[in-house]
Amino acid sequence: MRAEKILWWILVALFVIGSVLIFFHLLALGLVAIAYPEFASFLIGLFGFWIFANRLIFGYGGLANSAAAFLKGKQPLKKDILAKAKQPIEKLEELSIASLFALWQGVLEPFKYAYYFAFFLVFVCAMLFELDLLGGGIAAIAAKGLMLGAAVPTLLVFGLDLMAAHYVASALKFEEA
Amino acid sequence: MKNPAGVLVISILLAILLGWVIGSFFTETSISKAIANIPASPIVVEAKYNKDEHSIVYSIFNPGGMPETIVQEAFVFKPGKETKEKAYVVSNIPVHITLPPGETTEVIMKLKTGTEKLHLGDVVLATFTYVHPLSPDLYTVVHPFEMGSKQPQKASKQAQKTPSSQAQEQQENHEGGKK
Repeated sequence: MRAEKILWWILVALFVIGSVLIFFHLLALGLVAIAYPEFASFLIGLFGFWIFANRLIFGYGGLANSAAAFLKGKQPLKKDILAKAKQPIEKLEELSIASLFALWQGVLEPFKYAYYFAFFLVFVCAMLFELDLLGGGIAAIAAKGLMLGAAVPTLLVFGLDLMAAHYVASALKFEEA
Repeated sequence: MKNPAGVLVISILLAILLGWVIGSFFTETSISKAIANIPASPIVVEAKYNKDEHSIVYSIFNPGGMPETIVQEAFVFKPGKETKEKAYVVSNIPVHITLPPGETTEVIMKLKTGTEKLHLGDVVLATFTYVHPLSPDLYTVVHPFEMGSKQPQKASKQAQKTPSSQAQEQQENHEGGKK
């Protein structure tokens, strides 16, 4: 939980400081970005998309971890699970641990689809540039760099999502038995 | 997905692919940037004699990433056995032809007016002087053009050809000029 917030704030700070430096022409960062458009757009895509993927990456990672621990026999506190799923309703503690995992997974679902949709838009944009439908030049390089930078957190979200889904499913089966 | 190992394999394969794409993307952009800053030597890909205009049309390819400008042309005419024309030199023809990067440009060089049309075996040694934006120096390309031999690779075969085939080739050249 703490690592998630720390990383999120670091990325937001990097983004804000970077954009302030560029927009106000401090440190000549804008000139560097113009000289290396592919690196600049890659970093913007990586940091910008990671800010939105952060909750998903830590959510699915934490879910997979605690579900795997539960399968090995550790009993996590129901309060902790609800806190991580950001569900403050105490009544939900009556549910079994595996159902709380399923609830946590369900909470992350809308974030996942919003995130995938944003990545899809960037991907389509890069594709149109790649097919020369929107013109070429620096804009095409920037669009491709942005898409590749965004693809890194997206791949993490994809893999962790599959992993968490597997462990939640086995936790539900484990509880039934 | 039932198997965590399957998830791992899929994720690792995707990660390798993504890393590959990102690496090649950065390599590609840096290489294209480096190439864009190299002025290359222009290559004369083809030279054709236009009989009606009494000129030679050179197709010059600029393989580099920088535009180059031909600022001067000069040529030496060496007569072959079949012509009565005497050798002559024309130099310092000022021109201003830009060769865009990565493209083939046609450059027309008019031969001296009033001279006889080219015959088989006549040689025109053309010199193109060009400049590029990186330095004030002048560079030259010298291209020998022999009437009747189309390409330099064929030059060795030319010697073994029978007179009839040479006559045929001359006819081809003649037709090409009319087009």
